[in-house]
Parts: sequence; C-alpha cells; structure tokens
Amino acid sequence: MLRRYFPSLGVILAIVAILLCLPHFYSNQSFLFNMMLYLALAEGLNIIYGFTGYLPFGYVGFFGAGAYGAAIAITLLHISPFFGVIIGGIAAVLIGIILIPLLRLSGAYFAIANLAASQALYFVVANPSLEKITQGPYGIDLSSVYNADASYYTMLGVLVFAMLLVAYMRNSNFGLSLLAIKEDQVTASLAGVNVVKARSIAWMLSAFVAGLSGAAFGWYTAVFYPSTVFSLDVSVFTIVFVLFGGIGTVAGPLVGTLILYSMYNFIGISTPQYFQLFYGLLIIVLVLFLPDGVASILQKGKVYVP
Amino acid sequence: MCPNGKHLLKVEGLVKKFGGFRALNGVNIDVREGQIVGLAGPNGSGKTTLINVISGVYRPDGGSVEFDGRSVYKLPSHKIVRMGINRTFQVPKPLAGLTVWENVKLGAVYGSREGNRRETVRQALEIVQLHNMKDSVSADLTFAQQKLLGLATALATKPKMLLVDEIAAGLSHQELLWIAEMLLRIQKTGVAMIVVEHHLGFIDTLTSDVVVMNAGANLFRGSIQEAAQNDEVVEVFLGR
Amino acid sequence: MNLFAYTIIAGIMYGVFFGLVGLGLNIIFGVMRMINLAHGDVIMLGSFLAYWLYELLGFNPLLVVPVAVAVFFLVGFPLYYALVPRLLRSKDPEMLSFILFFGVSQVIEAVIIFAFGNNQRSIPFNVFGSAGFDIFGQRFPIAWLVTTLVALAAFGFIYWYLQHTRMGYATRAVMANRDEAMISGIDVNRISAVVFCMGLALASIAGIFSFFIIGASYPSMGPELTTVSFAIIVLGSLGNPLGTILGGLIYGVAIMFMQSYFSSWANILPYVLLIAVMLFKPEGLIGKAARSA
Repeated sequence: MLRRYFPSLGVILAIVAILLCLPHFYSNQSFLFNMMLYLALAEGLNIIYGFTGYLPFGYVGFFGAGAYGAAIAITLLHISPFFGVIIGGIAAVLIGIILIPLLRLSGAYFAIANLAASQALYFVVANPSLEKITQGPYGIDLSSVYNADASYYTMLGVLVFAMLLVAYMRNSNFGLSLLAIKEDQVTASLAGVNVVKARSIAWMLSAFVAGLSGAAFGWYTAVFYPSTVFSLDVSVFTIVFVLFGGIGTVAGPLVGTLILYSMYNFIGISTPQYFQLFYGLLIIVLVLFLPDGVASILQKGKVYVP
Repeated sequence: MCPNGKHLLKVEGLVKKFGGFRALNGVNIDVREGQIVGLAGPNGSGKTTLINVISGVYRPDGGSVEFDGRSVYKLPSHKIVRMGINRTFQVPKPLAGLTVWENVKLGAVYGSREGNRRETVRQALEIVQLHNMKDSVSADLTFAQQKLLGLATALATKPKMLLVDEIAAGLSHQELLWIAEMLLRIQKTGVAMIVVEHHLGFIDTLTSDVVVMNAGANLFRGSIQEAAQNDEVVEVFLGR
Repeated sequence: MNLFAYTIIAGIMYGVFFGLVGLGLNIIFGVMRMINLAHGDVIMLGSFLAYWLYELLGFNPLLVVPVAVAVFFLVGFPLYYALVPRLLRSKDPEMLSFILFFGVSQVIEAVIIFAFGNNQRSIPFNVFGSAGFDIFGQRFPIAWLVTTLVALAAFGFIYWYLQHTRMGYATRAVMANRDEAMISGIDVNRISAVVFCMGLALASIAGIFSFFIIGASYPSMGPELTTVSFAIIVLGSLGNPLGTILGGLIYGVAIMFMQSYFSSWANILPYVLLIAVMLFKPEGLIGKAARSA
C-alpha cells in the first residue's frame, strides 16, 4: 500500500536535502527563504485548485491572516514565535471557515468573490480604527523576536508539511474523491462522496498552509505592513507558478516555482515590470497552448509525474 | 421475483416545482424488495425528475420518500446512496478524467464502505463486462460503455435499489437484449429497480409491473397487458 | 439635512457613472459568457489616453471619446479573433478565459508602466469650465454633470443598439442562446467581435471621465476597478447590460453614504456588497443565476 507513495516521497526528500545543504554553499538566505515560501504556497494552492478546481484568487488573504494572527499572538499574548506560527495557521483556517459558503459559487464567480474577500480582510486589518489590535496601516514590528535561522527552519518545516499533504492527496482515496468533485459534483456525490465536507476540508487545509507560510514570513521579515502581506502579487505569483508547473501533482508546482521564482530573482527584483510583462505573456501562451502546465507534456507521453 | 416481499421504497404525494411549474404534482410509487417496476410515460411526464428527486439530485418541495423504513426526504445524495439507493443517467456522466477502475473504486470506497473494495470493484466491472478496460480513461469510452460504467459505479455502492434511467436509449437491439439479461441477473442478487423507459417494449422483457406517468402525476399502475388496453394510457402514448 | 440631500444627489450622479464603469464588462459577459478580467485595465488605458491627449494636444475629454472608440475597435477586432474563438473551443472556456484575460491585464499594466512610469496622472477638474451648477440648493462641479450626461448617453446608445437595430436584435439572440443563434444563421463570431470591441470602448470611455469621479489614474488601478465593476454588474444582473445602471446607482448611492457618514470603512463596501449579493442573491436584483450547488 505504501509503495505508491515512494515517488512522491522521493521528490520531497530531494527538495529537503537541497534546502538543508544549500545554505552552506549559498549565502543569500533571503532568496532561499522566499523560494521555500513560494514552494509552500504553490503546494497549498495546489490542494484546493489542483484537486477541486476552485481557483482562489484571494489566496493572499490566508497568507495575510497567518502573518497577522501570528504577530498579534506574539506581540499581544506574548506567545513564543514558533507557536505563534501555528496560531497564524489556525487564524487562516478560521478565515477559511468563514469563507466556506463561497464554495457554493462556481468557477470564475468563486475566484472573484474570494478576491473580494481578501481585499475586504485587507481593509479591515489596515483600518486605523483597529490600531490597538492590528496597528492599522502602520505595520507590525517583530524585531524583538527576530531569529533568521529559527524562522528559516520553521519555513522548511511548513514546506515539508505542505508537500506531504499533497503527496497524501496524490495517492489517497481522499485525493481521488476531490478529483471526482472537480470533474462532476453530482456524479461524485452519487458515488457516496460527501461533496460539501470533502471540499471544505481541502479548503481549510489549503488555508492552513497559507496561514503557516504567512506567519513564518512575518517572523522572518520582522517588520511588515498590511500592504505587504495582503499584496495581490502573492496570489498572482502563486497562481502563475502553479499554472506553469501543472496542477494535481507534487512535482508540478515545485518545478513551476523553482523555475519562475529563480527567473523573477534575476530579472524581476529591480524592475518588476519586466517580470510582470513576462508572466502576463506566459499566462496567455499557457492558456492557449498548454493549459495543464509543463507536467502535462510528460503525462501525455505516459510518464508518471509524482 | 418476490412480489410479496416487504415494502422497500414508498413515495407519497411527491412534489417538485421549477419556478411556477410543477414537474411532479403528487406522485405515488412503491416498490417491494427485489421487485422491478417499469416507469413509462411520454416525454416531459416527470419520469427523470422523479428519479432525480428520489436520488437526491433535486430537492423535493413536498410529499414523502421512505426507503427501508426510513425517510430519505431531502437528504443529500451521498447519504441516500449510503442507505442503498443508486441510479444511472440517461446521458452518462462519468468522471471523465479518471480511469474506469478509479470511477468504480470511488463508489466502493465512499458508497458501500464495507467488504473488500478491490473485490467489489472487480465484481461490478465483471457484471457490466468492462473489466478488460479498467485502465482506460473514461472519457475515451463509447457512449454505451460510459452508460455501463455508470451502472458499475452504482453497483459498487452495493445498492438495494437501482433507479435505471432510459438505459436503452441510443443502443442497438443486440445491446438491448444483453442489457435486459444483465439487469435480470442483477435483480437475482436481490436488487430492486425502477426502470424508466419511454416505450413499453423494453420494460416488457424485464417485468410485467408498470407505472405510467403523465403531466407529473400517476396515470396507471398494473400489468403491461392491462396498460395496453387502458384508454387513458393509449391516449397519452399515441396522442389524438 | 443638507448633507443628506447632497449625498443622495451626488450618489445618483456617481451611480450613473459607475453604471458606465460596469457596462462594458456586462455586455461582454452577456454575449460571450466570459469575464474580461482586463476590464479595469482598459478603463485605465482610457484614462491614460485622455491624459496624454490633453497634455500633448490640449484635447477636451469629450473629444477623446471618438478617438477611444476608434482605437478600441481597431485593437479589439484582432484581439478578439486571436484569442476568443480558440478559447470557446477549449474544454473550460469560462475558467480559461478568466485566467487568460488576467494575463492580458498584467501585460497592459506592465506596458503602461514602461511607457509612462508608475505615477499618478490627472486632468484638472475645471477642464469644462469652473462654473458649478445647482440642484435643490446644492452646488456641484460642472465636470460631474458632463460625466453623468456622457454615461447616460452611453446607456441610451446601448438601448438603441439592442432594441432598434438589426445587429442589436441578433445580439439579443446570441445573449439568449448562443447555440440557437448559430443554428438560425446568425454570424455569432462577428456579433461577439463587435460586442467585444464595444465593451472595450465603453470601458475606455469610463476611463476618460474617471478623473472627475474616482480621482487620479495610475497604471496598477486595474484589478480594483475590475472587482468594483464586477460587484456592480452582479448587483444589477449578470448578462443584462441595461440592468447595470441599477447596480451602478445602488453602488454610487451606497458609496456616497459611506463616505459621508462612515468614511473610514468606505473602501470595504464594494467587496462586501459583491460577496453578499453572490451568496444571497446570485441572480442579481433582476436576472439569472450564477451559482452551481
């Protein structure tokens, strides 16, 4: 039974080995951290988009909820940063629970409503009248608990967790039931699948991963603003990386993120518009010619993609 | 056949509205354990709507549906399926991206939730004779094969009752004979059925017990022979 | 009471303008069942066109309208034929078009930043003269009146097109049922292409006058405008172009009230409205359902 997990686990071990070794040879820790961050977000988005077909345009809402949930727990409740990260994940799940009714919407309507929800959350968090809790637009300062190495390895842990979740979905009956929901909700429920429950679980798991990632990011960055952690760019990058790599597999989103985030780092950081132009064109080309991402090239050739 | 078995399904006064239109306007039907009931009627008489309501695909707007002594009225599909009712579609709706085996396995895992799943899937595929195609992606199957796949998935949920919606439509005479024989074999394992069919000929090969619907309500219940001599039945089928 | 009257009247003028903001998106949705996620960016393009013609050649915004219509018909046709027919043949046109137009939106934004820099631009408020006008004792800037009249004219044009022209008749047929329209001999692709261009042109006209209602323009304003537009057309009713004005009015009056009485929470309004309508009244205030299960 466990043998079918081997290819997925192999991919995960390779990624972990690289990320454990690389800091000893490559000194740009911030790049590695952000790479792990987007790898984890890509797998988190893969859980909901890749397996159930709901495209969460407001995925950044969970990211921001995680960053703020953790920051509030750390600054106001004086919880240790590590547990703060877990509380960040839980905060995102709570937002996810509030948003479960959105899953009744289909396709593009869900995507837009989710985008609206993340914007609404942003305006709530950034509202000056909540300054006592969120610091409003003035941002969060966690420099008293700043610890680059601890937050780096926490992020690695979040990434491993996200990859294991996707590996589970890729190989389990639960994952199969989600793919069935994506294909046809009526047929899935007539096979006995509790559609509402299954898609809600996937949604909350996806939110949890984004919340943990946002919390770890907040800890690592130490100083951030609502506009940083609720930036639409976070959703956009994650979606583009996943679309490019290919959905529904462990490896697809990883490959997409590794390639595109590296490119962003070379051409995008100083002049983001070059990268924006590039991925805008990339999206158009993908939709018209390769809607299932690069992994689908292999899959069409009957190659198994873990 | 055991027409004297106890009541399995009891539908009373079932109502389904679409806006102002009453697609079902107080339908009654009852089926005994292991019994096949034919359900006939002209287009638009509400046969498929009835199947959709009983199987939980549509929510009813009135009446009652009792199955095995328990109400399934307004339950979601997956609960109804787990209680032992399943159905097929006139136009098959397979999970197109999944393989034949995965389609049926889903029914075995989530629908029946008992027994050896692998064995359940294998048996269901053997009954409909799709076993040699188990690794094909279901989008690649023919129309007839997709219908059979739907039936196999339903069987994998180990139903006590099957609602078979126009399985004969679009099939050749040869295929029809074979399907009728298969449905009778399924019945022998103790599965009751409502077989929806536009015409009485196919029903005749399965059962003599038939319900005729018209305009969202019952018109007739009895044997096929009686139906053929009933003026009202003849009128709705032939028109004036 | 003064503030109340002012709020209502200003809300109505805002509302008519916001109806125009949503109109192009809704007409494209009605005919093609696609959400043009680059809609907000086209509005932005319209405003930059107006700004540019004003700065370089001293064009009055009203003169920019025919230029914008010409430009977007010239750009729209090839864009339509390059992208849309291919999408309509794919297995999930609704979702894929959504993603594709998102790509288009990102390209537009990047190109405009290359061309103009990532700065705010605006046209002076008194471009139509510095006189004001009075309604029920409240004084309003003349630019608002001009904007409102242009928006009403756009709605009037769409009404005339749909109800009184041959092509509009065919357009209504395509809106009602694309397949049946095709069978009855209507050139669905040509109708869609024309309506696509019309939708872009209407969005750009909204952009030309956005300075007087929304304020300064900047290259990355697109996504927010798209969300607002979507909220408006969902409120009105999806796929019913003339219903957009109702959505616009509700939005305009609501936003004015928020700004007058709860200004710090005004920016959250479009998003909450959008979610609430989609969840509780997905068919809009008059129209068809968008919800699946």
